[in-house]
Formats: sequence, C-alpha cells, structure tokens
Amino acid sequence: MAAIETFYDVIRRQGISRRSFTKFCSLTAASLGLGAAGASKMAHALETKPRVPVIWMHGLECTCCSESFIRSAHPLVKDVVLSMISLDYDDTIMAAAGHQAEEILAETKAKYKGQYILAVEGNPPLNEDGMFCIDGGKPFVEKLKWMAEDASAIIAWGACASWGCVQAAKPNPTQATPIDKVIRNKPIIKVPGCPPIAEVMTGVVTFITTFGRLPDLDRQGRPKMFYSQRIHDKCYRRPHFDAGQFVEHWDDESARKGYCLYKMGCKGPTTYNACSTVRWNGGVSFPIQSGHGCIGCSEEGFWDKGTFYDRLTNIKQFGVEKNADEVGGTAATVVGAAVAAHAAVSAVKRVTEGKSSETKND
Amino acid sequence: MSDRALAIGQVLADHFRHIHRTVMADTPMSNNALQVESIGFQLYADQVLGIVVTPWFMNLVLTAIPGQSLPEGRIGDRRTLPTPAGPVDFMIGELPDFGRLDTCSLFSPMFQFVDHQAAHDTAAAALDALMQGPPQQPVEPVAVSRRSLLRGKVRGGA
Repeated sequence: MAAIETFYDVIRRQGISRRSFTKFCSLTAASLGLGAAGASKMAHALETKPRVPVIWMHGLECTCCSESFIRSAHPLVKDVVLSMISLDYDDTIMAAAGHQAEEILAETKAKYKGQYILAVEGNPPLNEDGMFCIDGGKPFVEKLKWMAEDASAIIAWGACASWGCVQAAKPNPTQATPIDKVIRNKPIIKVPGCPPIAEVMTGVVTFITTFGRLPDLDRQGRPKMFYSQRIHDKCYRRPHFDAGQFVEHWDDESARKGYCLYKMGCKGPTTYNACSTVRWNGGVSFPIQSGHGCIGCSEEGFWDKGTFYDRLTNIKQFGVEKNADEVGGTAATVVGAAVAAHAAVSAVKRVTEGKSSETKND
Repeated sequence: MSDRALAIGQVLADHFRHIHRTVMADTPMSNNALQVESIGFQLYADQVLGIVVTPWFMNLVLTAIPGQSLPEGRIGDRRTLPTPAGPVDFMIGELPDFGRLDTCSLFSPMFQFVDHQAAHDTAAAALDALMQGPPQQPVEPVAVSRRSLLRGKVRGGA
C-alpha cells in the first residue's frame, strides 16, 4: 500500500544507491549536530517509518523560501522534497490544479487527521476579512485555519510566516499577520530568514519526519540547532572588528582588505542565524563574504529598523537582550558575583561543543 | 614561565588600549564604562591562553609562546583547542603590529556589563569554568559474583 511506503523504498525505486542514501543520512545528521549515532537512527527511521504527509501552503509571500528549499546542495534533495515528505500539496510545484488540487487538501485532512505537517510560506492578511489574499476562492486565513485544525505541527517558513516580513512593514495596510498570531493551539516551529538557508530547511524537515517531533526550540520558537549562533560571533571578519578595522566607504582600501562591515550597516551583531557557519549555495559564500553587511533578515521586524545601511546605533534598542536566548542569564544586566558566575558558565557552555540533546530522544 | 604569559597579556592589553583610544571610543559599539584588561594569561597546551576584556568584546585568546609558532592556518578559518570543559573553536586571526592571535568570542557587544568589575568577574569565572574538567565520574563498583566472593577474589578488582 502506498500509505506505508517509506522514504527508502521510494529512493531505491528511483535507482539511488544505498551508499548515497547512507551519505545523505550522515551529512544531514552532521548538519543537525547529531553525530554518528544520529545518522544510523535517521537511516533506520527513513527505512521503516511511513512517509509523513506534508501540506505546503502559500499566503502573502514571494516564493523565495521554495526557491531556496529546492536548491539545497545535496543531490538527494529532490528526493527530500518529492519523496521523503510525501509532499501532497504545494501550489507552486504540484501538477494538480483547480478543484483537483483543492480536493487533495480535504482528502489529506480527513485521511491523515492529526498526522500531517502543515508547512506555511507567507502569512495571512487579516484586514477586510482577509480579502487581500484569496486562494481557491476563499480568504487564505480561512484556508489556513481549516488545515491547521487537524495538523500535527506547523512549520512557519521564512520571515513572512515567522514575523510578518515586508508585507507587515509599517503601516501594514493589509494587516499581514504571522502564523503564530493566528494559530494558537498547535506546535509551531519558526524557520526565519528571507529566505531561510536551504540546508536549514531540509534539516528541519528531516528532523521532524525522522524523529516524529519538533527539534528543541528557543524561546522565540526557532530551532536551537540553527539559530543559537550569532552571525557576529562566527563571522570570519570578526578579527577585524576586534582590531577596530572597519570599511568606511564602499570599495575603499579597507573594503578590498575585507575589513569589518559594521560601519556600513552590518546587522551581524544582532542577528541569529547559521549564515556564517553553514553559508549559502552549498557552503560557497554568504552576504558578508561577498562584501555586503548582514541585513538581519531572520530577525523580527527587520524592515522597520532603518535602512540596510544604517549603523546599529543603539544595540540595546535593536533587541539583543530579547534575542540572546542561548546566553541565558547574560541577557540581563551582569551585576554581582553570582550573576557573573552564571554568565561565565553559560558562555563557556556555548563555546564548548556539547553534544546536542537531540540524540537522546526518539 | 607564567610570567611570560602575563607579559604577553600586558602587551595585548596595550594594543587594545591603543585601538580603544584611536578607533573604538567614539563608536556606539563601545561600552565606555569598561576598560581594557587581560585576565588569567597562562601557558596551556604549548600556547598562551587568556581572556581579553575590552569595551567592545570579551574574547578567549590564544597566541604563541615567544619564539614558537601556532599551528598553521588561514585567517578566518577555525581550529579546535581541547580544554577540560570540552573542545573550543578558535578563529584564526591577526592583530596588526602584534601578529597571529586566535580568538573565541564570549561576549560582544558588552552592554550587559554595568561596570568593569562585573566584566572582570565574569572573565575570571569563565576561565575557571573552562579549566574545570567535566564532573568526576563515580568509581565503578567492582562486580562481585557469588563465586568470587566465596573464593576470596573480591580484592582482585580487575
């Protein structure tokens, strides 16, 4: 029966070797910080568990999340998209159209009640009863709520679904609203970024489908494995920041030497994402490496925080405290010996490579 | 020997004091309630390890013992140093007029520190935490079978 077909069955039928499959598992496990034990657990799950149905809906968005996702560097990614997750509905890449497509939603909702994952790209506008985004003849917000009723979990792809992004920028005429402000009774994982890194997206999907649960999330609902590091802490230009070497004008001598881009408006010090470690296009580069500052696209409300080239003139206002989930007590003001000790231990814990707790759970 | 490490800490602190005065003092990244200080410089794994606190960052730093050199590497790459608390990734870097300086960021920017004492205490505690090994494993009880007990082999242990 098709319902119990596993990811492994599908890729073997497509002629993909066991060797490639194992390699995929170990690469993905490594990107998730799971280690060797995680790779074999992942391989076992993909060989034995039925594929998880995924419904991928699009609200107000630009499809850059989909574009990023299908460009994930691993050659097996097309199988991640098309096989592993049994992508039953995605209005961008599915063959079905019109009533036939809409029927898939009703069918999945009934057949896989409480089992399917709802991946949402974009967000619903609430103004004028949702009329600014009509999908299949209905306001998108209604369709979203209807499909969310019976989903097991929701993935909020990108800055739009997570925070609102450009369509929610002031004055937000359509009242574009992030998913977690509309759906309140389901577990929601936010994968922000404009778009998110492809490997982060496939990593999140692989984790959920393999282990049947969401990965550990920070206080803002983002997967800790990818969003606990600040761009600034892992940036290869960081030694220049420490040494006070800054680019002062585009294409000046300092720019050619690859100095720090803080004075050109880089938002690295306030941005939590994996760009400086995972990088983009299969690990080739990332914006700072290409000579442009980070625009902070994975942070809440980045469109409303001045231009991309404004310096971070007031770091505190920009929200360091709010986002510094990983450093725990250090988010508060450090005063007194006990707080200093706690801040120190948290910082050391962050920089020593503790094995992820993810492998402990099934 | 550790005098040499302390001396290197002082040289580094002087470098960063100069950077603070000339470049960083007027930037909003700088918490001017803090000063530049080098803390806990010591010899570790044939290198000099310590913490540098400045108004704009607090880094673990690794540099070479005078007359020796650090493992080869490209600026911006990472290398791992095993410590009692676990492996730590350092970024390979260079400080102008000083030379190779590998760093691992603990804090930056530094606005959560109300005064220099708080930053100093945090740095000292961080170095302690780093140099403390993982919690001691309890000694495995020796498995004693009834037969061993009766034959008086309990003390054998291994």
